[in-house]
Amino acid sequence: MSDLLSLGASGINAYQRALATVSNNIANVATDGYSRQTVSFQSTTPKAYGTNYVGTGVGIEAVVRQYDAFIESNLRGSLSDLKSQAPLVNYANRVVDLMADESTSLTLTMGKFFASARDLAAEPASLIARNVFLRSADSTASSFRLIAEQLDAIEAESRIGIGDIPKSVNTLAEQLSLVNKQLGRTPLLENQPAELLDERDRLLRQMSEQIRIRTQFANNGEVKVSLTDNFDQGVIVERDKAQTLGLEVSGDSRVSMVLNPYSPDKRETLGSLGGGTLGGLLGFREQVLKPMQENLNLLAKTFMDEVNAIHRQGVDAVGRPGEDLFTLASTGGSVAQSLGVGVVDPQRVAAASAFRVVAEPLNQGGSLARIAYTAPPPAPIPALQQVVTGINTHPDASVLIDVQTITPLATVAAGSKDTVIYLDPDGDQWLQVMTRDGRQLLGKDLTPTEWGLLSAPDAKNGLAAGASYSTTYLNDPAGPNSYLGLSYFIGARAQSLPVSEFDPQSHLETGTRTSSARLTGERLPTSMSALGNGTLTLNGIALPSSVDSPQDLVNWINSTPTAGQEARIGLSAKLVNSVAIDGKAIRLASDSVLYLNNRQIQMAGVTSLSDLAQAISSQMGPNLQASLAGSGELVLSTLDGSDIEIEGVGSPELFALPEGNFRGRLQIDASPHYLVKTLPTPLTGKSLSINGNAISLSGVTNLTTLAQAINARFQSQDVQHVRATVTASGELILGTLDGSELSIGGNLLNANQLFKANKIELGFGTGGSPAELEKLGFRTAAYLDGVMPEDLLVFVAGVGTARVTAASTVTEFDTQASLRNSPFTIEFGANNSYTITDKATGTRLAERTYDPVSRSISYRGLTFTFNSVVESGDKFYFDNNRNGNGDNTNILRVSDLQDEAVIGSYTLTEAYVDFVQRAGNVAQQASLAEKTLGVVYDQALQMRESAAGVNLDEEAADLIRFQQAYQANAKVIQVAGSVFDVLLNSL
Amino acid sequence: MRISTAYFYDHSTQQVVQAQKRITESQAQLSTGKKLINPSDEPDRALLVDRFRSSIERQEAVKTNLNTQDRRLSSQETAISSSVEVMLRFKELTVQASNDSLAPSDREAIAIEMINLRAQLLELANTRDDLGHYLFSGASATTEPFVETNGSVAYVGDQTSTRLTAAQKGHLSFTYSGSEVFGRVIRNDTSTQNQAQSVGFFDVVDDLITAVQGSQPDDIRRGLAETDQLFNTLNLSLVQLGADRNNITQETSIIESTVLNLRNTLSGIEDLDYAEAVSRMNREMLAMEAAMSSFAKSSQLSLFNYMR
Repeated sequence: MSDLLSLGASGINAYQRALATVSNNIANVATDGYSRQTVSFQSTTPKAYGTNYVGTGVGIEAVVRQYDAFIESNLRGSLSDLKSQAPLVNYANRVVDLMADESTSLTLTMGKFFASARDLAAEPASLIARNVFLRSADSTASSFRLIAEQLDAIEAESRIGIGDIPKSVNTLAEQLSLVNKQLGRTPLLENQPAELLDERDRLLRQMSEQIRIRTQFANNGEVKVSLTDNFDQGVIVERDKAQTLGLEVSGDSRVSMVLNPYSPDKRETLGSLGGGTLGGLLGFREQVLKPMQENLNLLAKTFMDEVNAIHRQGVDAVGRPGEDLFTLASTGGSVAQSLGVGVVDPQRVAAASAFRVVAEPLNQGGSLARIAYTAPPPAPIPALQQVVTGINTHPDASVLIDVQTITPLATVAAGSKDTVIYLDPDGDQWLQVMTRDGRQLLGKDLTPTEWGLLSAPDAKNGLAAGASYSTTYLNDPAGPNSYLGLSYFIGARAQSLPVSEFDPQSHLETGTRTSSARLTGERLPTSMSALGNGTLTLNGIALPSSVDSPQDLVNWINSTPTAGQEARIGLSAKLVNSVAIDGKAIRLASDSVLYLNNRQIQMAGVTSLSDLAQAISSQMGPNLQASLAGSGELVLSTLDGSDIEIEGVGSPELFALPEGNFRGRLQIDASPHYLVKTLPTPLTGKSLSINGNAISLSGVTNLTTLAQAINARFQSQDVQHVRATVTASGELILGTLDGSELSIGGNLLNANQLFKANKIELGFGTGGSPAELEKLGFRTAAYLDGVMPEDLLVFVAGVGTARVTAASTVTEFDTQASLRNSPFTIEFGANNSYTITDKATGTRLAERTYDPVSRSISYRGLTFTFNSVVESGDKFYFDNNRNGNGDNTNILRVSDLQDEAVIGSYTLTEAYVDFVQRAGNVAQQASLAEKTLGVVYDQALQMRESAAGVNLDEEAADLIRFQQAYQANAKVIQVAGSVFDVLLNSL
Repeated sequence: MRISTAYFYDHSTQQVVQAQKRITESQAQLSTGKKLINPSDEPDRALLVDRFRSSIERQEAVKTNLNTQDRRLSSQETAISSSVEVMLRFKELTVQASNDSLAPSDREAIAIEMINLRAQLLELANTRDDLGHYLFSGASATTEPFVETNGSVAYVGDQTSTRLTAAQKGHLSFTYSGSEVFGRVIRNDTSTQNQAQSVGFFDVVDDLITAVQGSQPDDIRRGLAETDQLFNTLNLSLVQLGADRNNITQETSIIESTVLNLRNTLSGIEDLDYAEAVSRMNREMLAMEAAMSSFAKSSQLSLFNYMR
């Protein structure tokens, strides 16, 4: 109603409310997150009086919360950004402080290590200096460990820091869900209590300190919060439900956030989360900590590997090769965490160089020599294992080599053990084996053309520069002309081997015995010419001119050796021939026809293979026999090794046997035989026992009677086949007929002086060749026994296509150790020639010409440099520096490592500085960003405060205004009252 | 734009706090005398300081090593000069002995003194340093270089040189092995078909002693010429030693001036400029006072004060 009283009353009400709101603002001036509330007045609906409208007073339209959603979300965003810089700055600074500080900086620590290496270089023979060096190495390793530990501690701390965040986020989410629930009761935003909305905004702001959030507001003020940048993933608060955030640490300490970690079906791994303290911590781990730990490990590993490599190249105070100086503790952990020193004894510090060259003090030229070593590159021709793959030496497994005059085949690398190379020649082809300095070991003398081709400057076949050709060691390993005392042979060879013996009952090994050697050839060629005179040798003995055919050879071998032919004592030979036919290839039918050696076999009554075998044996015997082997094969053999000709007539498929003429093979056996040249006299007090049987010496006056005594003793025990025979030259040969060993006891015969034959070697004499050996059915091979101490080059000489197979074992070969174990002498001769001679064996390793301008010589990776003129007759000795404990070459190399670019193009120190600088840069940038974002946040805060903050002066003014309005309205009521009084009084 | 009361207070106190922070930093600098308190304040500068320090230490270490080598050279010098004096006496005696008018018994007396001198020479050649390492055996420090077997002395050391890191780039090399210092002589013996023969140091001396004892004038004359050669070889080593020691002195002075330069630069990088720092701190204190007093004043202004 529009009368004075109600007008006044409406005013009073309204202004009372307004005053209450203002005092609420004043009371909450210091409340965090409070939004100022203002009152908006609205005049109430006017009343109509006739054609005029009269107002009816004022009402409170609403208590408006001063709130700008955009400003709020802006504020949240900039708060997240700001908070994410602080942990990054703090932790990054800590890392930089740790690594750049004087007392822990690796620059200074590594510098001290290299300085102590230099100190040791000044006094290498001093035990004190060596001790100091080891202590310094130890403190360097412990510096690495210290920094690694500290970084680990920082890592753990940051992980705990990250772990705290989900807890607070979860609490805030819970609270938000409760707020949402309250808000959910009212459908309109305007009707929501302002304090509740303030609470909601406060919680949201706190959450964005921890992590960046994205919000979506419903019409009634309910908020939906997501941790990612969309609402499909990572929604943590929706209406009145709150999810739980959890932390997951994976193996390499990567941290990821998971929503609902304990619920298998609602589990959600969140990818990129950022902003807030969480973002800062994660950023620190990714950008600073992890790279720093990786770089520290890289530095530690490189440092360790480089120092160890140098240390292993040197020798210690007593000439032993160095071991690893730094090792990793077995307790595991990263490289930097487990770095330690492996050398404890100061004598074991490898300060000296592994090699030394000493000039003979009495040299006429006054030159001194210096030595340097670089591991030589492998020979240009590929290794044997790569050219001839596999170890099958059967001719069918051959590799074909196209030969033109002289062609490189392969390198037998140093360390190859028991190498055998077979060459099945097509015409006149030869294997030529020589050292890289042109000393030929096996093959045939090279023609000047061939040598010219090999030694051409651009030949690139592995021959050393300036190598000269020598045949001194060619095919002659036995005598003083063996190269380095090695054993090598070319031809056909068989050796006796140790064979295990087994107990027949228990099948356990009871020992080994030496089997006798047996050389078996391939099937004899169908047609062949006679052997040349003296082209082949057997155990070094030239075959007599009477030996033209295999049979001649057999007869000669089985004859008694004459004087000077001791090498073939105990050898026996025969021709053998056997053909094995797979039982399944034999078709026995009533119309089967078989001709053996042009005689038809009568098949009457033959129904099985055993019948067939019997029929053949009875009809073709006694020379040609047939038997059934356990594997189901039919084996035809001739006793005298003669040919077996197999033929079917008409349709071969009736009797499906292989057809053809099968020639026999040569078989030479060597049984251990003993040669006694003279009978020791007198016989008193002497005794003799053979294989445990005592031989009575009564009546023995000479070797003949001794032989008789021995034979008499064993005739009664025929099972051992022991025989004694006397040769034409009056020497006694004692042996067995079954190849078993003889054990000689007693003191009549000195077992060491007895001569044993245990190998069969068919080699080449004058004019001999692999083609000659082929006539006897034997394949030629080059044998290199034992481990080769240096690379050997293998060439094939001739024309056409050669077939090569090989077998060899590769063993590990340490070039440096091998050089150290073989000291040699360099001796200069006339016309600037020089010879390198092995000290132990006297072998001439190289004979070359010296270039006085270059003043240097290279041999197998060693370089000798002379500092002045060298005269003919001057000698220089190379050895392993065993007593050179005052030599500092190797430790100087360690100290030079300080200036070497070992990590990319950086030295160790430069790399360390680079790593720390990178971390420092991140810290600096974060610090700058913090300042900038601080300003941004400040502005956002200012805007918010400007919109929603309480200004006491403003409130004071409002207070006065509303007070006055209230007073005015009260006065209106008073006036209304007095007006009414006037009205009442006048009645 | 409105300023809310809360914001006003926060903002003002922040300014005061910032001013305090700046003053604390300046104070720390003044008390330590260094521009850098924590390496993380200026990582670039900190690392630069690091590098300079390690360069300085490295130069000092090289200097120490050169000193060590110099001491060794000094010991060698002493031994060689003593040997030179012995050789001088030897020459005098040889000249005396070559006098035809001397009686054999006189020559025998001379020979006795010569034998004495020879023993002295051998001892000098096998001199050891204070650690017991031989001076003239090359790198085989614990192997006696000159060994006498059946009256004849042979050199059994090696000639490996000692190398040291130099001041600038590369290495310095020192070799004074026994076979060079007590070097061989080439004897052109006309009696043995003009074949030049190489004779060791002590063999020359021994031959001379034998010649003097046996009064063989030709051999004595030959010995005189050869003794001259021995004398010259020793002198040459002495001269070279002197040059090497000079070299070391030069290297040492190069190092000293390099270190001086480095220290100066380092000081420029890390040391505080006190004048600038003090005036800066004064400024900052003034700023803080102003902030504090202005806050005190402006915080007192409130409309409520003016409402009765």
